[in-house]
Amino acid sequence: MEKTSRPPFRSTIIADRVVALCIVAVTAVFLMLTFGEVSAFARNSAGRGPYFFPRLVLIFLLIAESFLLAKVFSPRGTVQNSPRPTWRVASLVLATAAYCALIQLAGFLIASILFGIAVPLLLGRRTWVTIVTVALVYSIAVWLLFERVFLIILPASPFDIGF
Amino acid sequence: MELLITAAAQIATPLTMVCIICGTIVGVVVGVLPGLGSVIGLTMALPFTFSLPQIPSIALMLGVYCGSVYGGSITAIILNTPGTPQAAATALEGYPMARRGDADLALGWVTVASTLGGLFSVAIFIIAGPSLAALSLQFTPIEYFALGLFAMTCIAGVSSGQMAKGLVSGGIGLMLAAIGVDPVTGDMRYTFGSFQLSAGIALIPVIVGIFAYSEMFLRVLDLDGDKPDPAEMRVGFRVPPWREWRIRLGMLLRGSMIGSFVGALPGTGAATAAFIAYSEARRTSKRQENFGKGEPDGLVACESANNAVTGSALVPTLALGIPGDPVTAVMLGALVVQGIAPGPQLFANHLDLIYAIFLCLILVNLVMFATGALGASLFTRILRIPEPILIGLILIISTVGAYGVNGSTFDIWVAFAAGVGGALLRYLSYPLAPIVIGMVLGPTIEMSLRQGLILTDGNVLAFLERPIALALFAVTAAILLWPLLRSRLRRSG
Repeated sequence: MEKTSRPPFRSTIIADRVVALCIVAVTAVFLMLTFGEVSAFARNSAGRGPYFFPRLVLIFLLIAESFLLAKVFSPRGTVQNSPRPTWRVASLVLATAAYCALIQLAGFLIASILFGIAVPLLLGRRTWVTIVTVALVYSIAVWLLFERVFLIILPASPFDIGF
Repeated sequence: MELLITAAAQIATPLTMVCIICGTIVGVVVGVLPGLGSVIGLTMALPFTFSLPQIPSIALMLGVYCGSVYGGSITAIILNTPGTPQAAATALEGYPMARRGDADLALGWVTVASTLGGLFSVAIFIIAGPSLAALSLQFTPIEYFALGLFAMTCIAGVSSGQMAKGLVSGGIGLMLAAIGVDPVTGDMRYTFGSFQLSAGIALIPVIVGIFAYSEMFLRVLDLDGDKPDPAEMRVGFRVPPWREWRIRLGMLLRGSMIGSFVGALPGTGAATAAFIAYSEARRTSKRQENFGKGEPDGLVACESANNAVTGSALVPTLALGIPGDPVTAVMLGALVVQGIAPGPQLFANHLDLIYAIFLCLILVNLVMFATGALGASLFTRILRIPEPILIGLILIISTVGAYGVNGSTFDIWVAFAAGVGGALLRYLSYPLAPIVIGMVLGPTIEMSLRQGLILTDGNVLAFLERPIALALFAVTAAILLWPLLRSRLRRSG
């Protein structure tokens, strides 16, 4: 992403602060969980029990996060100037989530062909013949390579059609 | 000698040769495409390694690794757009050479220097690897704990300008590694009743998510940016004459030594090595006045340095099981999937495998030369693939990588979650490499700490009674405190 001298967007600065606060909150919750019940064997373990190491890490994290909070809430902040996220980013993320779900529902091959067509269309490409050809050839090639050559069984469709 | 012959026999198979050639070509292609780089190349290659035997899968990964470091230089020379960060220094001299019509010669310098730098680092690997492994045979869990902490300091190297965020990322990685069954007591940690989480969060899906998915999600932001003109992408390949090489052998040797030294340090990597070698060449060259106008000295220095990193970075990774940067962390993950446990025992019990890796590295560097010489102009055509199509294809192959390691659709969701989280963190300038480094080192640090405490009856101070551990703790403290000390000195000075 290209950096310019323009300062970061206000929404980016706010997002930076919100994310930092969320990380602190999750760390605090995880730290509290380290004081929960453990097995009798774990209590007597010379290696100090299952939560000994996570507790050390979480305390270290809280110290690092105190520096982080001081920085993100300082006037200069910590984020760099980046292009504003667009609807295209959101649509790619949603399409990828749909792809992950579709792999389970329709199998790898069908899901990959549809995803291979959908992504260029979502990102503004309109050369239909190229897009469909590439998606078909690539998905079938990857499927054949892994299923038939490398013998990695990829998720199959529930339609009992062999892929 | 017998082991060397065994190793040679292991790699002299058609499958290994195909893996070396394909890995190198894929690596060069990934390197040529700006913004992808070694880590994404290795992530894309991961699913192919799952069902390959050990040696061919290692050969494939080494090919991608070395090829991607070299490939970045091609676009740096022709388009002034380094394909990888490692090639940024190459553009400083390569592009001016291309502008004056010597792109083919610049590619010749770069290809030869890369090959020789890579071969030099193999020699360093052959000498330093067994020595380091022999030393580490004396290590107890206490030394491993000290070493693990020392390796975590590489977070400082990959978090320049964002130290607080880098440390938080490293902590997140350590915590992700702690999820699942406690290896000592068998208690569940942070599983929240989920059956899938009881096995822990696998490293490979997280790598796929935070490197490949998040990069593709954010790449969309730059879709409308300036794209290279296809007319600029026609170049040939010309090897510089020997008389030109003879006067630059010192530069080549110095660059290779800098690269080999920097590569073995945690958290530095090929980009740092290339810039150090470039500035050293600029300082010592007899042709200083030509720098910035297309001086081969600069090309030879930075290209030999960035490729010399590839072999030496494997020394701590294989001898100690400690990755120095994200690239070697991904390599380590792939080795573990193959049932190879990097560490001193690997050198003690599987020397044939180590020799096979030596030989693979040599072959990869030779194939890299042939690939560059025969296909340099061809590879630039890859840049013509429309990015919206490329993004979809990379996401598909990366998903296979996330799924294939355990054959579990849960891992696909882990990769997706890591991708979304990684994209958000990347957008907010959090370094992501510390997450992977934390995940890789977390189990080693935890196990060695707890074993050390059992050995010393819970006395932490006894950790300081062991000389190697004490030295490592001292170096770790020095590295962590140096920035504070330096700013104090600057203020008082």
